[in-house]
Amino acid sequence: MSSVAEKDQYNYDIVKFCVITGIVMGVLGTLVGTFVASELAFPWLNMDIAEISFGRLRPVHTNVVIFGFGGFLLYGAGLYMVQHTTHARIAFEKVAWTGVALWLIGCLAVVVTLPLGMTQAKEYHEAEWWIDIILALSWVCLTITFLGTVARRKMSHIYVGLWFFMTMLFMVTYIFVFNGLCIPVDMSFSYSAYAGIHDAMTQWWWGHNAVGFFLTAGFIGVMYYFVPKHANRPIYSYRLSVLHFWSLTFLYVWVGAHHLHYTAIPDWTLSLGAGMSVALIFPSWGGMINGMMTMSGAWDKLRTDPVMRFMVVALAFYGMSTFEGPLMGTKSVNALSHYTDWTVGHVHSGALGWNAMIAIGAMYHMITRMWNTEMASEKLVNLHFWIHLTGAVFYITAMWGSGVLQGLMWRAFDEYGNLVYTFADSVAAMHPFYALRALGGFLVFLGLSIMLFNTIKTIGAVKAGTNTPLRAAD
Amino acid sequence: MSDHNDQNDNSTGHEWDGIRELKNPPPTWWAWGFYIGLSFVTAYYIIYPSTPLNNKIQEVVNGVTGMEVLVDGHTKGIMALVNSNPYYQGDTWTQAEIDALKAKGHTELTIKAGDLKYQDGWTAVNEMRDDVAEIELIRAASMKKLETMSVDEIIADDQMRQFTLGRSKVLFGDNCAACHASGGQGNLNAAHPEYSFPNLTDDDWLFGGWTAKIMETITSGREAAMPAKGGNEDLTDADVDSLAKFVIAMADGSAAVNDDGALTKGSFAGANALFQETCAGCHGANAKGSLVNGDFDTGAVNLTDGIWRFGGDMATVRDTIANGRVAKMPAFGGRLDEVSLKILTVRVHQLGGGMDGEPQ
Repeated sequence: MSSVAEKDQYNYDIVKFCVITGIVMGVLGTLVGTFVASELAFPWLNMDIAEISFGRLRPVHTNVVIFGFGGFLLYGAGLYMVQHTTHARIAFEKVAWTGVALWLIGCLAVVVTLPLGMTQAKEYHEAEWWIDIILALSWVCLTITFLGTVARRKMSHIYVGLWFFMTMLFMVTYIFVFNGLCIPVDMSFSYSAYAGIHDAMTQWWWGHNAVGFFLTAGFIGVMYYFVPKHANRPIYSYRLSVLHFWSLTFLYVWVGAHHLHYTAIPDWTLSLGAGMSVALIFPSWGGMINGMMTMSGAWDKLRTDPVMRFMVVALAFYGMSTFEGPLMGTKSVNALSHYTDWTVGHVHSGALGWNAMIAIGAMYHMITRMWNTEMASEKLVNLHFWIHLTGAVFYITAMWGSGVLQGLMWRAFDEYGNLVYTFADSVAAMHPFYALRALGGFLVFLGLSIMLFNTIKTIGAVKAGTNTPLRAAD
Repeated sequence: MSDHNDQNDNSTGHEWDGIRELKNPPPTWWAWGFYIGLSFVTAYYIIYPSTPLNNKIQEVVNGVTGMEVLVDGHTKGIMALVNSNPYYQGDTWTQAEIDALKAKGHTELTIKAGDLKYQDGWTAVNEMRDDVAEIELIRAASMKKLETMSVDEIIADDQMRQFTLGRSKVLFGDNCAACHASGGQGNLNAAHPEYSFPNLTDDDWLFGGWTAKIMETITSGREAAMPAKGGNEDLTDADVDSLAKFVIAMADGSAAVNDDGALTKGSFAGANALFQETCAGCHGANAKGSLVNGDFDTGAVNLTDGIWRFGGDMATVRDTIANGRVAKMPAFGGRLDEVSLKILTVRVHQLGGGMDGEPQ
């Protein structure tokens, strides 16, 4: 196929780089996650070393899995699907490579600086100001490349997956930059531009919309390409995709305040967040339904194709956690769930169930297409599926049990109106759940390690370089 | 190139990388859910405070123009009409506050002393106050009694003792358990003897197990120090060794001294001579500690009962004698109110080793 000129081929090199890096980040991030989870169950594991204590390593875990694993999946899958759904090679390739390189530098800088205690202390935005700048520049590079490629498309309509991606590109830039505004003091310290409740509000406007646009809109975009492509079925409903795209985009930006129930934030702000959260259930489910119904006529693939199984189970988890989240966002449920492990369980039902599984499915799909081969071991893919699912279920159920127990213990009164339990009692009661959670996390890590092994074997077996011509005009 | 095909199917006619999209309407149940969600949010915003408004509404609500003290303009929600706040009555204006506002130029004020400062609707703070008030109502009668009853009266009254013990658990857990452990069993820390803390469940007291003394200990704290080598710089290493062996022997019963300091058991004549010269000043000639010998303030331990304050192995005892010990319990008098101090006193007394009557 060497007769095809480079400009008439898909650029797979950059996608390959992102996918492999993403898998490595996944292994690293879940390894750190398993370790910090074990520290909670067995505190002696921190060995009195500040750099590996829970407080320092926990953000390393969240940053590496969200921005390392999730981020490289979005870079890889985004650049893959934008080429495939525009039938064009990516635009501004040097800009794209610069973006990928900056993202990698940013992720590695996070891994180094956070254990050293350099942090902005903003959840999911811990990296110091200069790392923020690296990541933001990288994101701008991706945006330029992406929009440039969309402009090259060989059809008039823009594919639905790309709408979600473009929303993500715009919104994440917006919320990341504004939440990150600060006055730098030196390389290791800065003052936030906001104080008090303004800081809290801005922080959760970012925090929840990082979930809403990075981990939802972006991954829904991924779902919209890889599910119909892998199932070889048409998208179920165009109208549903329009409706849930606009309602999701409009509603998500309001709901961040539900992270701050029963704090000093004005009550009206919290009601706004809580109300919008509930209204968000069905816009969120629109994506799940469109994905699930796309499967009609292809359900038999679930029996034989573990990659398809990853994607469909991901959609089920997506539906579950987008129901659970609004529930927890209402005042009455939040009164029980706030500050408990239930929140952690909810996040991981989204992260391990939805994000990781759709990401893994998309990665397996891309590996076989880009190297034009089958996975070295289909059995290992199947094993990965079951190990990952078991780990995710262990993790989520452990945190549900632990969270509800915590919430109930904290508010238990005896017949005389006295608190029944001390805080330390509730900590002691968490131990078995924490041990089970660490086991769940370990299984997820094990699954990703198997994936990395299987991927290396697969690529190693591919002899000749391949190149793929752009899809011909229909 | 064309993204419209002529397939006569249920498709929009668009195609990307072989993916088509169908013209199916969204499922009816989804559409209903979508509308119900929007209705829910509308209802929620009517029920709860939800919409920020400008100060003009605030002026009408409070009958005051341009009042800068009440910048809280938002819709109150209809919970303001139905929520009667059964327990919490809300803050009210005082005449002094109104006069101060009038002095600032708000001469058109129509509010009177006793008017509610805020239109009470549902607010998170009011909900919390209501919940707290509800719980306080349950325990109000007993808490009222606690204010006037003495610790001894509480212990003598079965119902009040049960209430107080229930109430004490969290208080003890939050204030005492960090050192004395959640059951009050103390902590003998072999690796770091200096972080050992007394067991409160036995009847071996340092400063007295009578309620008055327990109260004094909790309220004012305690401090005790054992000087290195008992303050006797002439002690040699060999002397320290022989004293350590003697102390351990007294603890396990293989040595004993009577109230006059005479050795009645074991062959420790030399060590006992050292003991009477160096240690008896605080621990007593009979080695039974300061409290047994009528001294309430020194806190020198009883060395004959086999209960160790810092550890009873040879190395630790030797270290204690050679280098001394400092121990301190912080005062809780400034941190906890009178009733809480009584409650904790009852708990510590009832842990197992409480002494009856007056200190003697």
